[in-house]
Amino acid sequence: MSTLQKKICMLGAVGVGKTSLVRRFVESIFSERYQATVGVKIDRKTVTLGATTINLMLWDLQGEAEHQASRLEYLRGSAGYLVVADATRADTLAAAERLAARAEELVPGAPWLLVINKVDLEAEAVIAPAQLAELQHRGWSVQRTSARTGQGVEETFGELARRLLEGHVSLMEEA
Amino acid sequence: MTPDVGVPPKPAPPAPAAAPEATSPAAEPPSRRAAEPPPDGLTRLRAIILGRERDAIRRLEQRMEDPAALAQAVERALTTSVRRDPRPLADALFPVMGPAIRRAISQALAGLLQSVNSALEQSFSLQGLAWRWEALRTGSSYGEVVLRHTLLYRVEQVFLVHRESGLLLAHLTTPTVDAQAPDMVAGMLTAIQDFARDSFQVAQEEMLETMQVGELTVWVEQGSRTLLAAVIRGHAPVELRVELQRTLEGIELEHAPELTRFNGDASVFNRSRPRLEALLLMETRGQAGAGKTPWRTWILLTVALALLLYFGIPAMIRQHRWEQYLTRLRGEPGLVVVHAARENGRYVVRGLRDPLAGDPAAILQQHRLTDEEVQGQWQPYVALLPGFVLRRAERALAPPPTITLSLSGDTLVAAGAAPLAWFSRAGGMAPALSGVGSYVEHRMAPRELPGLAQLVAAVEARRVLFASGSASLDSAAIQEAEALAGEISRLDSAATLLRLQLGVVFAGSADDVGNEDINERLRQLRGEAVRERLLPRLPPTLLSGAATLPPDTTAAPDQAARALRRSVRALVSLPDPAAPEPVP
Repeated sequence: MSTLQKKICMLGAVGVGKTSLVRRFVESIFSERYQATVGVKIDRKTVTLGATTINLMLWDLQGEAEHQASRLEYLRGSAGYLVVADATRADTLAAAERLAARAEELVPGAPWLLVINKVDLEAEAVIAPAQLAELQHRGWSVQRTSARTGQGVEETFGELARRLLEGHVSLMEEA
Repeated sequence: MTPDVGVPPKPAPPAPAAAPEATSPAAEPPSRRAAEPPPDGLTRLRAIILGRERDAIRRLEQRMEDPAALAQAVERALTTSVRRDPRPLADALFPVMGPAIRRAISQALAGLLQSVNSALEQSFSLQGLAWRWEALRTGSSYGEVVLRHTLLYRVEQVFLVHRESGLLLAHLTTPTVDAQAPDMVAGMLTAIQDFARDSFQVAQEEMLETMQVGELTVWVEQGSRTLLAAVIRGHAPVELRVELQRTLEGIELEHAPELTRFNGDASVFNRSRPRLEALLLMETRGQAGAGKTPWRTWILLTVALALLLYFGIPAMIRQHRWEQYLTRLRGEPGLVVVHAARENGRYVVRGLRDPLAGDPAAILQQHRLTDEEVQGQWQPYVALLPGFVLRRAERALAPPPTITLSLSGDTLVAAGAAPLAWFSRAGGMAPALSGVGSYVEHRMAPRELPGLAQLVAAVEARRVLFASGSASLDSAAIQEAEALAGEISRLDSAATLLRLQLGVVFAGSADDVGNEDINERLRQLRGEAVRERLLPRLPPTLLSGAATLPPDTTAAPDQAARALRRSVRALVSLPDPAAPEPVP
């Protein structure tokens, strides 16, 4: 049984629920104040795929706000990342697109997922399925989650871990 | 050691181009041929005859150059050799391992000795007592406290972190340290590095080198691809930082390939653990005091004990006596303790004292205390206790022994016999005495005084009997007379004590038979006979003379009564002091 560590960044606008995704599903020793001070909080999510245990070291980056950009330099060294948007706020999807573009520049080729959070609030949903379909058409992988009900959360981390492991294996084969 | 392992002699180094091409042997022969000059006939012949062998040799050479292939062969050779007979390999290694093992053992022993010395030294010193107190106070073990104070520093944790990703490559702790989630801590360590760099706008290669948290210091050293962070308790010397740098350089050198293509599998870095373990060292406080016996402490303790014995015990005894003395004073009638305390190094007692009460100075002596130790300040007062009232009355009235004074409530009672003058004086003075409300007297005749009355009765009851018509003492009469003399002596003693004048006459009597003249003569003779008989036994002043009792004219009822009349008895006189003096 081998153990791998992978650095993962969580990006997204303020209030999209990144921290909530993290809070309920990961192991944590640091308080959420860290984000406000240092700009990032690091937690661990362990995912087991077959004979491989993958420790996802989640770098939960401070949310992107109008007056304050995320410290994207923290992306450096990431094996992958999650870009989170809020199903009930259209502007967060725009922010997600912007962040995804910048992340691609900083860690080109790294696997990533677009996470549409708060899908349990169906009545308030403003992001149209057609919009998502269009993004998927562009090659984006979209995951729908609810940090409140837990819907899709494990699957999201599992999917990311699976892609990372694929990349890892192909990297090993190259070597 | 080479002869034992049996490695074949190293072949001549291959052409410089050979090594990089080793990964694709299939492509190699044509390229090589292209690089060589055009073959002449001999060379071509050689190639035809020896071509296969040449290729085989070349492949062998390549294998010799490949460390991985060599390692396999060497491992197999070593395993076989040890399985067959471990001695040759052990002998070969001994010159290298022996000194190293010896050094390690001697270091461990020296450390142990030092810690035992230190523990022994500290266990009796004041420092040791202070540490014991600290251990008690903080709830930690004495050992921990000693360690905390004697340790100059201790590296408690070491983190080896991949710089770019912040992933943990290796983490070591000392056994007693409980480290939490080192992988998350490692990530934050790098995040903080970035944070500090960006916040203070320094060059990319500048870094946060030191963090101080309470007793802990975190030293961070940065290599090209890794960070080495050491969590240190105490004050580490600069040499440790140099050591950290050296370790980091060693690790980066050893792991250069793994670090270049690090992709999250940290297991390869287990190889560097021995290097990191070497950093988890402890440095104990300088041994300036080593070997010093705690004799000073002993002397100090002895002196303290001696002082305690010298000053403390007498003080305790004094205190005990003082308390006993106070208890006695408080129980003493006529003394009232108002204040008792220790003032300016001596005991002071203040109070009231009736002049008739016990003397505090005498009581002080009984309690083996001196005036130096206890100062008494007594104000006179009059105690109205019955005993004191009575004693004051006795002192003022000076009653004769025949008078008994007693107190009934506040009434002074004088009972007994005394001269008139005394009674009149007592009657005047008594009511004026403190504590006496009224005065009563019971005058008594001396012979009625308690104690005397009985003795008088005993004397006057005796009868010395005579035969009919005889005035001479027979043996029974002599015996009775002697007994009578004893009674008189006792009465005389009592009277003398009471200062009374006793007088005794022996009065003879006769029965009613016969001639009255003869009887009168018998009465006289009988009285004198007893007086003569007892004169030597008694003080002459007592015996004023013999007397005769007047004839009993009544008829004796029987012989027994008649016999009783033929007798002599003693008549007692006790003059009453109250009676007017007889005029001579």
